[in-house]
Amino acid sequence: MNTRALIVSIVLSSAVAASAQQPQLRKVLRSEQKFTIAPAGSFILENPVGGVEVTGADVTDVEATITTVIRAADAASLQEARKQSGLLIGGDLNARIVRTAVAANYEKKLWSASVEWKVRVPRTASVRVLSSGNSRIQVSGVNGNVHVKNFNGTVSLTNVLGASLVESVNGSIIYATPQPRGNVILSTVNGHITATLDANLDFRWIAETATGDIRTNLPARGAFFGATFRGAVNAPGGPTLTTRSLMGNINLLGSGPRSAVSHSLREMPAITIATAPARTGQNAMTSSSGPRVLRLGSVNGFFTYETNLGDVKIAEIKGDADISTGAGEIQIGTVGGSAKLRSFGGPLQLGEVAGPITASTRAGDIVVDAMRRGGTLSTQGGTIRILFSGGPARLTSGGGDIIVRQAAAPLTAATSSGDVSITIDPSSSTETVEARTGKGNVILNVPPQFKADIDATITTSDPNADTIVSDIPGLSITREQVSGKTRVRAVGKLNGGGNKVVLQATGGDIRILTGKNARPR
Amino acid sequence: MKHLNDQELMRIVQAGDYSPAAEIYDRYSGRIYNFAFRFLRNSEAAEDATQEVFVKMLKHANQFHGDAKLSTWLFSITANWCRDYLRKADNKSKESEEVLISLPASSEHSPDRNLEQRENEQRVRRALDSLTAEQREAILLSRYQGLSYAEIAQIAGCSEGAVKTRVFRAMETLKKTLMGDTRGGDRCLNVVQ
Amino acid sequence: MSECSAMRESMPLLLTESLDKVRREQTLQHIENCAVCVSEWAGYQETWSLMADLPEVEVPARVKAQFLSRAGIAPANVVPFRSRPAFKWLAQAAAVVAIAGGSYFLGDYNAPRIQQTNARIDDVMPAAGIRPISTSPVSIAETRVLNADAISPEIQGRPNITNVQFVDGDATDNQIGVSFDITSRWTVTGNPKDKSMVRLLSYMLENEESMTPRSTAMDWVRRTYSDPANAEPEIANALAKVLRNDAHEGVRIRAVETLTNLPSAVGTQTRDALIQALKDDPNPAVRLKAVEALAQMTAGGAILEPAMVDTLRQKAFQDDENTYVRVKAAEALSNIKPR
Repeated sequence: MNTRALIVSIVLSSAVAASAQQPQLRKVLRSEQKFTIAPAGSFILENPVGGVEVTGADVTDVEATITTVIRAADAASLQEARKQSGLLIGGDLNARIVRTAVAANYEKKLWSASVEWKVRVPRTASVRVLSSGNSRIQVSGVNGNVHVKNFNGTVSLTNVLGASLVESVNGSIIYATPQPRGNVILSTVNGHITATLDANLDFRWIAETATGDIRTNLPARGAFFGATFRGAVNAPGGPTLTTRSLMGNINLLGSGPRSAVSHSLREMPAITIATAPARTGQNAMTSSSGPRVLRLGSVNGFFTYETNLGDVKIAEIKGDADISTGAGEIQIGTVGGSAKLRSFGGPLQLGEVAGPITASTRAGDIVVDAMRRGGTLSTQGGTIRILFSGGPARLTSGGGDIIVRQAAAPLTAATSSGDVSITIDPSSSTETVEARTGKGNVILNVPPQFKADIDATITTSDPNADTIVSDIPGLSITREQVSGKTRVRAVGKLNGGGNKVVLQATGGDIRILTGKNARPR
Repeated sequence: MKHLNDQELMRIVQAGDYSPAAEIYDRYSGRIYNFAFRFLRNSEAAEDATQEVFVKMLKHANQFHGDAKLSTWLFSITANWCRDYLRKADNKSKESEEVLISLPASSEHSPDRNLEQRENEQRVRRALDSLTAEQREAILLSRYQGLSYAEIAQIAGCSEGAVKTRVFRAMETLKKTLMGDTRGGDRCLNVVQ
Repeated sequence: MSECSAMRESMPLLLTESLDKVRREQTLQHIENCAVCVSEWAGYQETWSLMADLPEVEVPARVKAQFLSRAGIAPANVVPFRSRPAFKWLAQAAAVVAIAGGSYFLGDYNAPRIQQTNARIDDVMPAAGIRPISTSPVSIAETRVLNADAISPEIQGRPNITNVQFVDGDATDNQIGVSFDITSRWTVTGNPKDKSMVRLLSYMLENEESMTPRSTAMDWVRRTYSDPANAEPEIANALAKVLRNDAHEGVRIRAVETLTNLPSAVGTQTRDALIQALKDDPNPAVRLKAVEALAQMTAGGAILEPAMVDTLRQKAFQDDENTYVRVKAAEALSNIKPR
């Protein structure tokens, strides 16, 4: 081979090699399929890897155009992709079931496939579409029932006369049928819903959203039941439209010549949170659909905040605090005055609180670094952890442990299930303590010279396993049988006696220990 | 007997005394049986295999060298027996080309826990069934018996590199089948040209 | 790409902990830095874990009978062991091993060995003065039947001996036997990733009867296994079982908190346990923490089974569920990107 030819062949082979490394061969495959179906039969399509468009038409069979787009790194991968994708067909005339099957390909770099369906069905058919992908699903012109279930991607139903059910997770739903004959249920977790019906249609409307807004330009009459609006549009009767979006907005619009501006059904308008707190006195903020997280640095004076839903995180409140959230976490660094916190679900976390605390949550832990003047904390389910309590405190949990690392004041702690572990301040010579658990252990850590009148009782079905133990002598133990269980009671005086300490445990131990003491603050 | 290790028990057997047989059986029958059962997918054959393995252990005890592990030797005997069984049995699986007749109308139901566990069990069994015999042997010995590749190589009569490849291919197939199972492992009928 | 292929070939070896230290480190480092291999590895782990769903089958009793019959051996009488609470079993039975095992390991290594002869061995009991030395790993929950010669005559530490029974099967053979339970203290040290250590901790998490040691074990596990270098799926699985089964609400809360902190808590069993807790647990704190853990997993790219997605969806719309839990379920769903 002469030099020039050699150079050309080297250049050519380099070009070929370079092009072989280019990503993406793209192949588009189109297929037309027909499936027989009874006039009032159901067409069920599952397509996890692409969009679906279903149109009711004057046809007797289901006619589908399936467009498969395969992208592959090379010819071998293309072949692999073709082998790994296909259709599954089943059912009968009454229920025709079709599924796109694409094997999950782990070599994502080498090939990917998407399959788009355009389907014409008899108008009288019912349609069911299942998708777990990101693509859009459209159904229109169908008189039968429609059921769509998807994950992401918008769902659009237009002129669907029969009963409709749409279930989405993150997708939005657009429904436009002037006069549906059946009930309509549109539900999505994180998406928005827009429904357009004839402005003159009579129908019932149920709308629910936890964080979003409910708006309409139709004359809707009804009332809110919690976060759910129930009412009617125009005259009573007609089909029921249910719109549920946990986190998104709901819009109900009327089609036709009337085109009023839509308004929110919620009584409390949304308020924009001020960026700067007031210089003196009171800061009051309320929000029905405010920010999901209210974050503030330092707040001078008294601070009040109430929201239906949202977290509250504030570094410092110099005055008193009164905070309530329908569902959310409350985190306050320090409070110069008293603290009243309410959450209907979510953990509460406080740093240093100078004044008394009243805090409650329906679900979640309560953690307080220091409650200088004590207070009342309760959770219906969760752990209560206090590092330091300097005033009378009442702690209640519906299920979960209660832990107090340093109690320097009277304390009552009760949990229906969990351990109660209390450490008395080393400088306290005596303290009034009441600790109970419906199922668990009670552990009281005291200084060696701690004085107390002890009344400790365990109720157990295994008296060998569950015991009362005290590092400090002075207790006498009795046992009795009560309703098939053994009740063990220890009473006596520690170090000559002092304030009353009542400890009760069911199905666990009681231990009075001198070994562990909290670090002084 | 329980305080003697395997080598000591086998020395007794090699000396003609079969009294340790029950102890050795108790130690290894569970593993041998489960391996055979999963390999052959047939409980009757697995029972025969288990019995034969221990009978062979007694008959050919002198072939056992004290420096090897008894478990490796027993699995060798089991694997040989199972391979012979498969060669003799008419067990070619039929390739099914039929279109799926019916699919569940709802594929998003939530099964109760027991059903879910049984379904997982079935999926794993089917996935193992889809392996070649060599791959299945290798993965069963590795995953369920915890044997090293060196031991599996000895049992399978191949190199460690071959074992590594078999286990790798088996895992690739299992992963594809178990993780990429769209619904119920149905076969595809390729209609998209 | 070829490096990824080589790493993928090593993944089964990684699963079975069969790689040498250097290669193991190389493989782990590659996985951590390669998006494709991270996904691959997750798939491998999941598959490996799913394979555990295949249960062990019991060998039919007739197989043993037939084998013994063919071998010309009469079946031995088996004395059933009395069942007792699991942990007491563990502690007490372990002590038998301690005495026997201790004598094996600490006994007289200068004892004469068996001299190889051609003579037939008539009696399987070792001759006096001979102490067989076991080199296989010691099981801490093993019962043993020993000849008195195998035990050191020195009994140290005043062990607690209970449940004593005297056995004399044959009055003419000048042999007597004594059965007993014994407590002893074991200290097991090792690397957090040693299989035995992981097994021991998993067993304690699942079976320790008393709640306080179980809680303590959990705190300790959280401290040790939160470090990604010590990630152990078996620990996560043990915690998942505690979450599913423990009757003590405080322990279940702690279990789900600990699971949230474990980098290895991404397997099917963990997700199953979290979903079940979200569905069924009567304590709202457990449900709350379970859904927070799921939200964290999905934010980290974990893939959930359709049934799990449905549970989250249903929970988001469950009217009588705490709103915070519902909102967190919605958050978990919003993080999911379908494959």
